[in-house]
Amino acid sequence: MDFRDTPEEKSFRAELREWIGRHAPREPIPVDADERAAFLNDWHRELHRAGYIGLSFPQDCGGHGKLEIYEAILNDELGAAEAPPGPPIAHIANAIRIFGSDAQRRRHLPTLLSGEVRWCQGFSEPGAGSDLASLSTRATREADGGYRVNGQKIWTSEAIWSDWCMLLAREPGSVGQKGISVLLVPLATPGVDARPIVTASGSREFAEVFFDDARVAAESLLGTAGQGWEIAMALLAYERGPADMGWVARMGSTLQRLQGLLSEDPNVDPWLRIELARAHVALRALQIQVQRSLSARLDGSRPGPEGSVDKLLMTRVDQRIHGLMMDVLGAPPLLEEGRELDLYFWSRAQSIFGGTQQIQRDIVAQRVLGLPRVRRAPSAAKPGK
Amino acid sequence: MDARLSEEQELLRATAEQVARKLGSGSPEALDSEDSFDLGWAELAEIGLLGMRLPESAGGMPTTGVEVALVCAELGRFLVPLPFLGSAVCASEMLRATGAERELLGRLASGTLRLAPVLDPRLARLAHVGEPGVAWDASGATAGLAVDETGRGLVCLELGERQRAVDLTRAFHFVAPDAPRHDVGDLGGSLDGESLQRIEALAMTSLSADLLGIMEGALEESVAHVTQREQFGMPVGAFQAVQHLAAEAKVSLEATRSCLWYAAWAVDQLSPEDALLAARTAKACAAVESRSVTETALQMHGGVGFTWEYMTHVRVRRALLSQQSFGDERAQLGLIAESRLSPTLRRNSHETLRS
Repeated sequence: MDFRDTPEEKSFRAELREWIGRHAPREPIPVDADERAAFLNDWHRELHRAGYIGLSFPQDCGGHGKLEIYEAILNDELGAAEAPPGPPIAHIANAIRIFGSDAQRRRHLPTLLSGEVRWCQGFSEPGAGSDLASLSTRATREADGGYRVNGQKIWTSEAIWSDWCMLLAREPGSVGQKGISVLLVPLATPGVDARPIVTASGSREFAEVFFDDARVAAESLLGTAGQGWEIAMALLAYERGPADMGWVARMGSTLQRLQGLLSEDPNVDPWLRIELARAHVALRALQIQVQRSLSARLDGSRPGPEGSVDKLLMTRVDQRIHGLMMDVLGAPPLLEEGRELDLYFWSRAQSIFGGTQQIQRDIVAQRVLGLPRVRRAPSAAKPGK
Repeated sequence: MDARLSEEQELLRATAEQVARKLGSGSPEALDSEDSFDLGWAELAEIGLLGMRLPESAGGMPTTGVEVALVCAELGRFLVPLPFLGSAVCASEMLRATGAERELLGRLASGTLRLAPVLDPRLARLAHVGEPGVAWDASGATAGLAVDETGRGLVCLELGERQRAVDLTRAFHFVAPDAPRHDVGDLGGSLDGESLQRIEALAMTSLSADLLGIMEGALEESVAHVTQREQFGMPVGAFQAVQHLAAEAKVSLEATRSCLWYAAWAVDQLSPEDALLAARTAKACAAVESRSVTETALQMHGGVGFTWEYMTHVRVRRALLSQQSFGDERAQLGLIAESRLSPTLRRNSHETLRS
């Protein structure tokens, strides 16, 4: 055990810090959804040009082949500098890396990592949220080996700005976890239509995506037919990783800002001082937890059910820090709506997306602690029409 | 950076687990047996655990804070009623830092002498001679160690009557303001500010480890209980409401482990201020999370958790003392706020940046 940076890590950190100091945008992340998406994509491309995207990705996949721990360094430094977080692409990128054919990896990974081609993840449906295995979007095999896709996805992040969708769809007539496949679908395909959902904070980064007889080529299948559930679970394990998705940077950035504000106030409310310290403790716990989880992957293993512990901890910390943010800032962001409300709502959504807090607790209880599986009523899974 | 235990550290943890499982208390009645107590202490000495912070010249086997934390956690997990924290960690660290005579350190390492740190009555810090004190974790201790009149050296004081403390696995004795000195040998010279900070950091880290172990034991015991206890025709552990309590307890436990490992590493590796901040962070986390996990254990046990014969209350009792000692959550948070909000320090929110 050694929490100290190795000489390589140390020089990487120093260069990164210097680079962030010169290149991080000085203006705040825009509130307007379109402007924000463009702003974050610019930032993604700039990080990529400087060599900070895909740090732990193999070189033959367009990455830099470094140890996973470098992702934690990137997150910590972006957060400490109050810079925008890196792009949340690790879940999709890892799914393609692990399950994709050589051709798919060569075709998709370089442009996904560079930010030139933007991706979304078509998992949830109106009838399949926590119960993802009840999804009903169906992919019917055609005579030419391709697929005809019909159905509806929801909560598809960034879909209206995306070029490609990693889609979960099932073989008609199949039920539950069996018969699900992953298809890589261009959103420009005729019959695919993305419509924005306006969220509680007025943002339009989520969408509903409709598939109406959309024709998809045979080579769009990721992995093998019917492997979709396994791929989805692997992808979700990455999506739950606090460092993989840049969440730690976001939280570090907020805490840094609050600390700055309170330091300048000579009459800080004693309760806020204590709460700030509590948030510091929580963030440190999360940062070190991330280091532990990434270290556990040094031997090449993939994230397992323990990732749900990290997700639950991340949820606690996110909600503590952004709840505290509302307390520290008080009236001004209430009288003039800005990005604070959005950050606050995001922290509340943290216990919903990527698997709800309740689902994560089920996973920890049953798969980490070994408690008996809850006996459910027979599953009401809806087979495809 | 590599946050994994080394193979040697994992081996030590496994050894400590084995010993702790054997020496731990299976029932509240077993806690009163003096014979097993002396045998247990000799066993810890035998495998070198009493000299973990003592130099080889005194028969010790010096290790880092990480090894100490691993052992403390296992002893806490199995509620071992031996004064490892008081004598082998705190008193030994204090006397090593002052450069006490080798013969004295040798008796600590071999287990023939036990000493206890003396804390102020609020259990917040080391006591000074002339003020009332509490000899802390003092089972079988010959005397207590307090800070002398100069504020830099140590004195050895006679112990008063044993207190009726809630912790059934550790002993606490009054130390009167005018307690006579007790001669155990040359206590060495004076401590500088840095050594005092490191002693404090090690004490808080070890207590956080003790609390982590208590949480692990509490959760293991609770999971075992709800797996075998049946109601409504099924194990109560099959109910989601119960499972979610256990899952949150696991999150609390792992968060504490994270803070603890970093603090335990920092004890010897970072500057004294950074080691102290890491230790305060770990102690704040361990104190509040162990309170919630031991309370969850009571809830998961239902009625039997409130009976004398179950060990649940023994864990709650030990945890209460460890939470309070060397500063509870609130005390740590106040000091953390001070260091985070002082203008010169506030840009450095990550200790690792400066290492």
